[in-house]
Parts: sequence; C-alpha cells; structure tokens
Amino acid sequence: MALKGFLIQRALNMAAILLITVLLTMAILGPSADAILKRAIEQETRTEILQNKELVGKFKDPGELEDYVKSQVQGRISSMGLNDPWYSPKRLWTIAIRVMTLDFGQSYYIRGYGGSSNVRDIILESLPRTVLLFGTATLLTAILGILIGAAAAKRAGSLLDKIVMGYAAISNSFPLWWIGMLAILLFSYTLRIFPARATPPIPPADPAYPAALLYHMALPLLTMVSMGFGGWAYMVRNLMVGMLQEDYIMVARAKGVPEGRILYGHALRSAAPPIVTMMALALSGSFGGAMITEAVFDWPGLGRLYWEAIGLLDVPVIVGLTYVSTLVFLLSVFMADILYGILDPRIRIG
Amino acid sequence: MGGLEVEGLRAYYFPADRPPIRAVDGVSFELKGGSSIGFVGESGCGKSTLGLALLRLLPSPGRIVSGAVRLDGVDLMGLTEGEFGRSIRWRRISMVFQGAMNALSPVYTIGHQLSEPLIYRLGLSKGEARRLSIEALEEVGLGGDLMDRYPHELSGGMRQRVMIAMALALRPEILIADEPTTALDVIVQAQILNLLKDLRERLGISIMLLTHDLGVISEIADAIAVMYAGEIVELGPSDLIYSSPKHPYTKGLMAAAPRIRGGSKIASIPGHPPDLGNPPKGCRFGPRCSAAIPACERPPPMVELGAGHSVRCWLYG
Repeated sequence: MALKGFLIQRALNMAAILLITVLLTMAILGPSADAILKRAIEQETRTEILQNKELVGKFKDPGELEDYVKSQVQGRISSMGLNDPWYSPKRLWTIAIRVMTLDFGQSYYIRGYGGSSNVRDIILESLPRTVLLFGTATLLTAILGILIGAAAAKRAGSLLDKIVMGYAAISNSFPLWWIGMLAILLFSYTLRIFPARATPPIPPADPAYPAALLYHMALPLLTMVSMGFGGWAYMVRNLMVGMLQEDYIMVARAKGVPEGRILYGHALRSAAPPIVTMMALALSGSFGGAMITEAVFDWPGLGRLYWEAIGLLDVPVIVGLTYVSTLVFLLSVFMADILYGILDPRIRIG
Repeated sequence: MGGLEVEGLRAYYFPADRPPIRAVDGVSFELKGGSSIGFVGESGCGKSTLGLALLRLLPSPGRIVSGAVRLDGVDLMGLTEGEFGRSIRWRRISMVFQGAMNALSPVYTIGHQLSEPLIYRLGLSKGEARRLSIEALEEVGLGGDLMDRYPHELSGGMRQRVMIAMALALRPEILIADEPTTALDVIVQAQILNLLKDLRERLGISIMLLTHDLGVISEIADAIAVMYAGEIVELGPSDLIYSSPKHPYTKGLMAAAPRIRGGSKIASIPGHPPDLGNPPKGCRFGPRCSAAIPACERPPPMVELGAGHSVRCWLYG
C-alpha cells in the first residue's frame, strides 16, 4: 500500500517536472525561434513564387504580385499553427500535450539518415548510439573505479593507494575533450591504430556496420574509461575507508567472514547508496551532456544531434532532445531510489 | 575449562610520527574457568585495547609487543594468525563489542549475521546455521521471528541481545563483554546484566567485563581489576575492593559513583589521565594523587596484600 502510494506520488512528480521542462524550453526558445521561422517561411515562399515564371507572368502589377506573395506566406504560417504568439495558452498547451506523448512533430532543417524529418525518428536513430557508447563507458568506468577504489581502501596508505589517488587527481584535472584530441592525434595520426572519426564511413544498412561501429567506438571508449575511473576510485576509496573502520567490520572479521566478503559484502553494500546515486547521475548525465565529447570524436549520437540542432535553432529537435534527456534523468533517479531500497534496508519503503 | 592466564601483556599503538602509545602496559591477571572478572577504568585506560588484544583484533597501527596469554595452560602467543582464527577467536574466546548500535551490519538480516560464524567457522550448511541461529536467539530471550529483520528495526536492548547471541553462537568458553550496557537505559541495562549472569550459570562460561561503570561490575564480577593509564592498579575479589579499596584511584572512583541517597555533590578526581605516548616516569597516577609521597617518583610495584588482593602503590610497599 505504501509502495503504491510512493509510486503514484513519484509518477505525478515526474509528470510535473516534465511539463515544467517543456514550458521552460518553449519560453527560452519561443520568441527568437518564432521570428526566425517566420522569416525563413517568407523567404522560401517568395523564392518559390518568383522562380515560377508562368505564375509571375499572370500578374501585371508588381503590387498585386506582392499581395499574392504575402497572402501565400500568411497561409503557410497559419497552416503551421504559427498565427498565435508562442506564449498563447492554446499553442503552449498543444505543444506540451504533444511533447509529453512523445510526439515532437517535424524538424525544421535536420533530417535523419533515411531522410525523415520526424523528430522522434531522428532522436530514436541517435539514442541507441549514445547509450551504446556512454552506457558502456559509464558502466566500465564505474566497475573499474569500484574495484580499484575498494582495493585502495583496503590498503589505505599503501603505495597502491597513493598511486590511485595521484592518478585520480591528475586524470580528473584534464578536460576530456582535450585528452580526446590528444588521443586522436596519437592513436589515429601517429600510431594509426584507431580511426579519427567515430562515425563509420559506410551506411547503417550495411551488414558490416555493427562491427565497424564497434571498431570506431574503441578510441572514445578507451579515452573516457581511462580518464574517468580515477574519480570513481577516489570517491569509492574515501567512502569505504570510513566503512571499514565501523565496528561491524571488525565483528565480521572476528566471526571469520572471509576478507573478500567483508570488502565487497559488508563494506561496499553499506556504501552503496551514494555510489548508486553517482552511477544514476553519471549514466543519465552522459546521455544528454556529452555534446563536446561526441563533437570531438564525431560520434553520431544525441550529443552531436543536440549540438547541430542548437546551431541551426531547430526548435522541435531541441525540445524533443531536452524532453528525452529530462525523461532519462528522471527515470535513472527513480531507478536509483528503487535500488537503494534493495541494497540498503534502512531506506526501504513499506 | 576456560581458564585464562595473562602475564605482562603489552599492546602498543605505533603512530607514524609520534612515540608509541602504551595502551596496555604490562597487564597480568588470571580468569578461572566459570568465573568472571570486571575491568573498570575511565575511557582511554586501555580496557578495550586489552579486549581486542586478547582476540588479536587490534586495529592498525596497534600490535602486541610482549607478554604471555595461556588458555587452559596452552600458550596462545605461539599460534599463527591462521591457527588463532580457526581454533581460538570466536570459538573459544568471543567478544560482545562496545556500542550495540554499530556492531551489527546495517545491510544484512539478523539471521544472516548470526549464521556467518556458523557457516564460516564450523562449515555448516545454510539450513543448519539457520536452525542454530534461531536457537541462539531463543537462548538470549528473543524470538526466531527476528531472523529476517534488520538491525534498524530492533531496539537497542534487542540489538545487544542479538550481539550476545552472535558472540555465543560457537559456544565459547570465555566471553569478553566491552561496555555491554553503555547507551542503554537503566531497565534494559539490568536485563542485559541478568542475561549475562544467567548465561554464565547455564553455560558455565567465564566472563571478562570491561566497563567504566562500577555499578555494572558489582552485578556480575567475582573479581575486579581497576585499570589506570594502561596498567592494573588494583586487583582483588570484588567484595574486598568494594569494602576496602586501597589504591587512591580506586577510592576516587568509588567516591565518584553517584548514590541515590548520597546527598551533596559527586566527588571527582582532579586532572586528566596522562598521555599514554609519554606517561609519567614514576607512578602514573602520581600527578593526580592527593596522597602522593616522594617515593611516587619511581614506578610502584604490585604489592600483595593477601587474599588475592594486590595494589600498585608505594603507600603499601
């Protein structure tokens, strides 16, 4: 019963946050996007009409032609639903409802690989690629970081501990995009081991595509993992050094529980909630916030799509991407909450 | 069974940049099978270190420097860590740790934690371990329904009972109880002490009680060892220590214990315990002692007063 109430409350909470996100995105993009879009429509219509010599020939008076152009422009603007100002409740409400049901409409300029202008299709094309690269990278980073951090915590003060801590400080101080560029320079141009561009030069329909994608993925993956695990190890190490001093660890040792079980059972599980939070935030953050990394490695994922859409001010794509990344974020936090309960009974609900 | 002899035990901590901390500095005592001894002293006097040293559980950078520990006449110091872990720790000497709140892991069920020593030390199956764990719970006055509960769902007194059940799971001969009643309210304190007394009678275990609370000691202990700054300053049968304390520190402790009809102020001992990294050259209590004489500049010997009563003080030597 309590669990049901909890779920309902969380669902309502999430819906409210998503609605606010959509409205805020519209408020930020609305005014300028409307003006730019209207000008683009006018330009396009005018060019279309003026290039049609036959149509132009029908008008004797330039004024009449101008009126015709204006009426055509107006017709297109109203057919696209741009007559009302962006802040009119009718437009906002329609957009909010559509966006929240994952209908993001047609993009202005950006096209998918198959030429589709449906924003949902475009996003769904990029999403798996981002999940593939960043999901894998985050998981590998976290697992490596947890294992190394736990090992360092067990031997706090040892040479291994000092090396791990030093590496964490150094690797965390370098921006990933800069290391990425150096890695491309070294591995692609000097050593010629990995391709410089992460986008395979063959169409996605090609049967060789998956293998090519994995090969192209190697360099960004290695760069991200090697730069990322230090920070994780540092955090896990510090959490676990505290846990390992708890009385119940000494009791477990006295009872004869093997060291590995003490480290990865008793100590790591008590430290789990902050680690799971980090993991959830890192996973969801990497999906939306990897713009620069994807741009450096030219990885055809959500980050690069975001980057393009912002450059072109392609509002439906920006709104769609913002919505999807917010959704991913909320779902990860929700899953983290559920996981807490499983890992730490003190937080369990109901 | 369960006779423990400790002779000249020294357990120091070795911090990297300071002189060693002599937390237990030449402690000798004897615990006869089935009897009980209470160690009393203020925090930092070395009682917990003594308990941990006997179980070889000293946290780094602590270690045993010298001394002899014999269990039923067998020297324990000669055992390797592996042998000690397999055959002595928790199996023959076990411990109820200080702080009922922190001694149980928050993320495992009571049943899981009770089963651990049975599984890892005796190699029992999960089913057998569970059955014995339920018996252990019943023995300390709890129900088997607690098996699937978590420590945070239990009261402080229940947790301490679980801890005692866990310590007794392998049927040890000696139970070291470190502040078993601290942080519990008076009624629960009394219940836990009665439980310990009852267990001692039923199971015939020897109990070594470490506490700062003279009242707790008087409930259980046949003998009392008063500890100050890493040393035993007075040792003897509890009725003798209560009726005629000899060491000025013991007298001070007695005077500092509150009494219901005591009236006026509670007496306190002026000053602070010494830094165990750099204790006084002579009597360690000397600087705080109101009865100090010139001889106290030198370390006092342990003086036998007869009837098993001895005191480390120049006033009697």
